[in-house]
Parts: sequence; structure tokens; C-alpha cells
Amino acid sequence: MTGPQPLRGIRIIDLTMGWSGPLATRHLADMGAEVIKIESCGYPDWWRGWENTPEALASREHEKSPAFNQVNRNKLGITIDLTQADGRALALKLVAGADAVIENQATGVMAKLGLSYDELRVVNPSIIMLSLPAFGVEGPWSGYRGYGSTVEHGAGLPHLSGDEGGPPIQTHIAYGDACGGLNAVAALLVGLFHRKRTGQGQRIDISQVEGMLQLGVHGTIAQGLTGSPPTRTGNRHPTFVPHGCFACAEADTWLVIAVTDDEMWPALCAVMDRADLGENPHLEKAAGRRAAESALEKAIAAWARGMDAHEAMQALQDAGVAAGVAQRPTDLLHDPAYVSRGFWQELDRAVVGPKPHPTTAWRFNGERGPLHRPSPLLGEHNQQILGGILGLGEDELAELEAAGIIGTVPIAPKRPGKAKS
Amino acid sequence: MSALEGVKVVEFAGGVAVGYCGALLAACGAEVIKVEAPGHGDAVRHLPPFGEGAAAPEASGMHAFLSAGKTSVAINLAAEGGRGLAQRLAGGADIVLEALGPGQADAAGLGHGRLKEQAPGLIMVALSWFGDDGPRRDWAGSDAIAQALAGFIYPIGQKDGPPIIPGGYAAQITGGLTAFIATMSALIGNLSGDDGVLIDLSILEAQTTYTETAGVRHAYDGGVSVRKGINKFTPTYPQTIYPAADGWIGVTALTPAQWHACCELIGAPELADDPRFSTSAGRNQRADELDTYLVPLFAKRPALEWFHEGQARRVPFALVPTMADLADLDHFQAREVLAKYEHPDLGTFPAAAIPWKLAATPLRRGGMAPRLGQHTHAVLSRTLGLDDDQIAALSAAGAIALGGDRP
Repeated sequence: MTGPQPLRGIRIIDLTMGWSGPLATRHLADMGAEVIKIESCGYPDWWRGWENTPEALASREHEKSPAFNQVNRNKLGITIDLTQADGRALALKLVAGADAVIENQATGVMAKLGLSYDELRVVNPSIIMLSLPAFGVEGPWSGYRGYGSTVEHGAGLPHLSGDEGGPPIQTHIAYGDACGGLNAVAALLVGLFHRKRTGQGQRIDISQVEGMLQLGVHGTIAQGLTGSPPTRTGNRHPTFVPHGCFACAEADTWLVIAVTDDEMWPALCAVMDRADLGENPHLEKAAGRRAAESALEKAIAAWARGMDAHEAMQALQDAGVAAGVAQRPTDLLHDPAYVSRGFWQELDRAVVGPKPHPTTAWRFNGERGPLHRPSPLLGEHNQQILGGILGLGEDELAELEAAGIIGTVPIAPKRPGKAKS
Repeated sequence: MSALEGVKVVEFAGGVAVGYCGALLAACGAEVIKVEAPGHGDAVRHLPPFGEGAAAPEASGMHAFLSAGKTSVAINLAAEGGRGLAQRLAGGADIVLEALGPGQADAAGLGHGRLKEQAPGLIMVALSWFGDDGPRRDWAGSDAIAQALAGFIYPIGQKDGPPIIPGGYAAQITGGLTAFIATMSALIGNLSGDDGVLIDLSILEAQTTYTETAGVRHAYDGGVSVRKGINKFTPTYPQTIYPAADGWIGVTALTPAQWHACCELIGAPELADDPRFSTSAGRNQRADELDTYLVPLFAKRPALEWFHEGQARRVPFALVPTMADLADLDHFQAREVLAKYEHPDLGTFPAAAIPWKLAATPLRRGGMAPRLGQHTHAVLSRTLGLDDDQIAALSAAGAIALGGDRP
């Protein structure tokens, strides 16, 4: 498959697991970088999510995780036991020929493995090394651990949603992971650009919490500028009136409506067949509608209750009113807008067969980053990478396997789900 | 040296997403010229939070943040003379960002095909809510609409109540960040000899980053998303927020080791092995029942104490700081999370700086944002070589507006 490959020729050594780091390297791989993901048989990526039982091993459960499989496509996968000296030496040889190393191990793990930035620089003075712990590499809390939930909590974002006086509102089970991954890949690309221009590598420290804080940057701006946090307005909006989420006819279907400018108000009223409201001069401007907001919400709610959510959305958008159904994440696979733009593409993988993948959220001259390789089976590319890049022969590979340094089968004990830092 | 030193960007302003992409480029050292409509300016100039004592279009803190370090040129793209200036500015750039709406750049003579004739390497990034084709291309959007359609808000809130719409501009910030990723990829491609590209970026699809795994999972096991309750999500619990004696504590305890350590810490060791709660799945199923035990216990001590003691036991607790707390916490102070932002009419205020720490090429932190058209004269004179008479004529014709720096 063809497609944009602007990062061709760039080699990334990927020591990330879970969601955040692997999402970062997925973007690099989608854009043509050669991403070599290192796991080990004793410590596979915990997003493979398998249980350590003979039955699970026999049915290769570790190759069946939808989350792992969709976030590691286009990468090469190898296994190296980095706790063994010979394993570490292999990793350093790979680093010597790489542009960047990215890791999201628990704080201190890289140093314990002898793979700190200072040690990587010895074998490759121009290496870039990026780490993305929950709270950052430096600072009093740098050793603290976090999942995506911890990151959302730690950034204070829940204080920016919900009703004034109500509890802080967490919005996702692990939002922070994906946001951390986006910040990591963005910063790494800056480092890669600089390296390609000047040959200089560097250390990059990404705090996932601080990346997340940017999503609520209006909160720190309000605090800094006015001395108070933003007013929490529930489903209302500080500028757009009306603005809310309304129940439609079918149970648990909801339509979000946002009157983002004054022209939308009479258009909304026309669709609702409420000319009385649309022509009311007191409601022409947002300030007037704000004074009557509760009553207007009641009128919209009464109308929406009798409507099919998707039909109502279409009618409103046809009239120029911003409206969107609160879709379930599981609805997106069949959503016509995603499908027509080629957002989902199928990729066939051993063990699980053809499965849908989200592509990049961007297109270069109309083309998405190509999906050319399913996520690696555990140790799938040991021979290709260790033989092809490092030049090891069959005998050497067999010795490494016998020593338990490389392999293709997970070994007990599975470590419990690891926090990312 | 800044990483993007010498990289020239022209941003055709229109909202938070494109502004954030430009802000990231500016913080990395690019020169960013923001082209705004005379009079009204960028939409972000009319978004809260607002400072006191300043009037539109100069009162917005969002603008002060997003435009820090940029210059502002007020050009009327609807006027013949204005359009020519915009074409010349864009043609001299390495990167053009625009969020004028699908098809609008072409209509204004600023399409990528046309600009590429002058600048073969030009990277052009078109940001829009729904992308530049497809059945929703011309639909109206907003953060809430993008979050709704991306499946983001359905799982938030009471089981029987409406989904909760998050506050702020998170979909647009995500869209701008994602556009930056695409832009930097293309810029690296240029160093390898690639031609300029037109990048089509859908904010909806960028927002889908947070929900796509649930869609994929459905294709594996048919599972569907549910809305379970405030601060409750599947498939595990607790991964939530509790009121502490003061403030709020984020509590995540997933693995057996974390759950045991959590129960010990809160003085309820009997819960650790209670068969109702001993597995992550069991705690998820009985989340409300579990809360009857945990809520009173977490109310006993201050959030900061829970946070540090939980983390000392390797349980990923988090203080849920208020916006005011952020300035006072030693960790955030040590990392200089807040930086000074400035605007001529708003003065100086702290806000969360672009947070990436690149040791060799540090990002610019904070900075001064322009008044609308503040640099019209300077940019037209310096960049396009126009003299005072030409600029005055353009101004008189309504093609441009001059801001505070005119001689």
C-alpha cells in the first residue's frame, strides 16, 4: 500500500508499553519510521492483557488483545531480556544505529537496566531519548506512578466539568494515556527535526500530567487572569446559548445542540416549529437567550423527546445548526462520516484475522498513513532484526534463545498490570 | 538555538485548534504570522476567560495564551487587495495553517495548488471539524459536538441522566496538537526532499484518539459502551475521585497488590480479602456498594496526605488539584509548569506553558500576544517590502487594518 512516508529512514527503539507510549510510536510508524518494539518473554507488553494460565498460553490469549493489536501495527517486534548482560548488550547495539529511544517504564527501571540516557549516549552521542512518566522525569513527584486515570486526576481537569457545587467530573477511564502519547510524539518529532538538521540528539522529559493540563488550559488562564477558576456550567456553555444534551425518543439516545452564533437560533426554532421563539426579539442575542435559558431548554427538550436522534441531528445540520448525536464509542465503526473518509481500515493478523484499525486523523494529499504490517506477535521479528540489522547468525540466535534472552513464548510469572511510572 | 528557528508560518486564524497548532510551532521557535479579519479578528478573541478592563477584541485570555509570541496582521480576505497580500505572505512561508472552513481557502485564492506554484515545498494544514470531504464536511461544529460524535461524552455521567459535556476546548486543543504532529512529520519529510503536502485534519477524528480502542474492541467481542455513573467507568474500580477531609483525592487501585495496599492504608484491611471486592471485576460490578465503605474512609484525612502515602505504597493515587492549587504545589513549582503570558491590554498573568522539556532546544515559555493588527504595518513593510504610501492606500481601501504600531 502506498501513502505518505515522511519519516522514512528514521529508526526508533521503542521500550514503551500500555497505551501512551505505543500510541506515540504508532504515529511514527504510520508516517514511515522504522519502529522496533522491544518486549521480553518474561515481561511482555502488559496491554496484551493475558492471564498466566496454561489454557491462556495454549490459546495464545496474549495475541488477542484488541487494544494491543490496534496500537502496535506497523511496528517490528522483538524480545530481549534486558536484565541479562547479553540482552543489554544487544539493546545497546540497536541503540547505536537508532535515531531515538522512547520509554515509559516505571521511573528508575531504565537506570537499573543500565540503559539511562548517559549510558545510551556512550554508544550513540546523537541519540534522542524521550521518557514520559506520569508526573515527569524531574521534580519531587517524579517517582510517583500513574495510570491514565491518575493523569486526568493529577492535572485537576475534573474541576473544570460538571455543575458548580457538584463533584469534580472524571471524563474517561484512561484519557491521560492517549493525551500523554500525543504530547510525547509531538515533542519527539521536534527533537527528530532538530537532529536531522543539526545532528544533535537530546533528552526529552514529558510529564503526562502537564500534557493533560493543556486540555484544560482555560482553567489556568482563568485562574491567572481573574483570580478565580472558570465557572462550572454543567452542560451549558459560557458563550453559546442554548447549549446542552437532550434526550431523544429512543431510550438512552441523546442529542447535543450548540447554538454557537445568533443566526443558529431562529434556524433551530424553525426546525422545532417554534416561530414564536425564533421571532422573539428578546431572544435574538445570546444575552437575551441567557436570561431565558431554562425555558428555552425546556422547549428544546420537549421537541427532542419526540425525535429520532439522528434524524433530528440531520434536520438541524441541514438548517445550519451545530448538533451531534452522543454516539457510543462502539457506534463509530459504522458511522458514515468515518467510513466515507476511510478512517477505519482493515488489517489481517495472525491469530485474530482481519480487524478494523483507526488510521491517522490526517491525510497527506488525500492519503492516510498506510497500514502495511499488523502488530507484531511476541518476538516475531527477532530473526529479521537481530539477524538482519545486527548480523547475528543462526547459531548465535539459537544460543540467545537457549539462554532465555530471546524467544516467542511468554514465560511465567506474568507481572501484574504495571503503572506507567 | 530553537528547534524551529528559521521556520516561517502563516496562520489564517479561526478558532482554538488552529491557534493551538500555531502556538506549538511558535513555542518551538518558528516565526508565526497570524492573519486575522479586521474588526472582529480571530474567533478566539471572543472566547472566555476574559480579563477585566479590556474590551473586545483584546479581552480574551485564550487569545493571549494561544497567540503568545505571534505577530498579528489584519487583512480582509474578501477584498481584492487583501487577498493578494495574503497570497504573497502565504507563498513566502514554509507552513500555512488555515481553519477558514472546507473549500474557503480555495475560494479566497489561497488553495494549496495555487500557493505551491510559488513555493513547491509549502506544507499547508487545513483544520476543520469534520475534514474536507464526507457527508458532514459542511456541518457546524463545536467542542461539544465533536466530543459527542466521537463517542467521548456518552459514557460520562449518571446512568439515567444525560451525558455530561466536558468544560473548555479539549477537542480543539487535541485537534491542534494532532495537526502539529502531522505538520512536524511533513517538515521532516521536507528535509528528505519531499514536496509540499496538503494536510487535511479533522478535529472529530483527532478526538477519536480517546475512544477508538472501544470501537475496535467491539469488533473483537461485540462489547458495547455503557454509562455507569458519575466518576465510574468500566471495566474496573476504583478508578475514581473521592472527597477527602479537604479537597479531592483520585483513587486508582487495579492490581491485587494495589488493592491490598489501598485497603491497608485506609484502615480497612478486611475489605482486601472480602470476596465481594477481591477482584477488579467484582469491584466494578459492586462499585456503589464498595463506595459505601470507601467514601467515609477517604473523608477522614486531607487529600495531600492520602496522595503521598498512597504513592509511597505504590498505589497510583493523585491529588486532584484545583486551578489555584497548581501554583502552590512544590512539584509544579519545581517544574515551572506555569509561565508568564502577556498582552498589552491585559497585563501579565500565569498560565500553564506548553510543557515539553527538550534539554537542547528548550521551548519558549509564555510570551507577549499581539493586539489585532498590531504588526500589520511592520510585516507588510518588512516581509513584503511595501512602503508607507502603499500601506496607507491599502488601509484606505479597506484591504487591511493597522493596529497599534503604525508610525
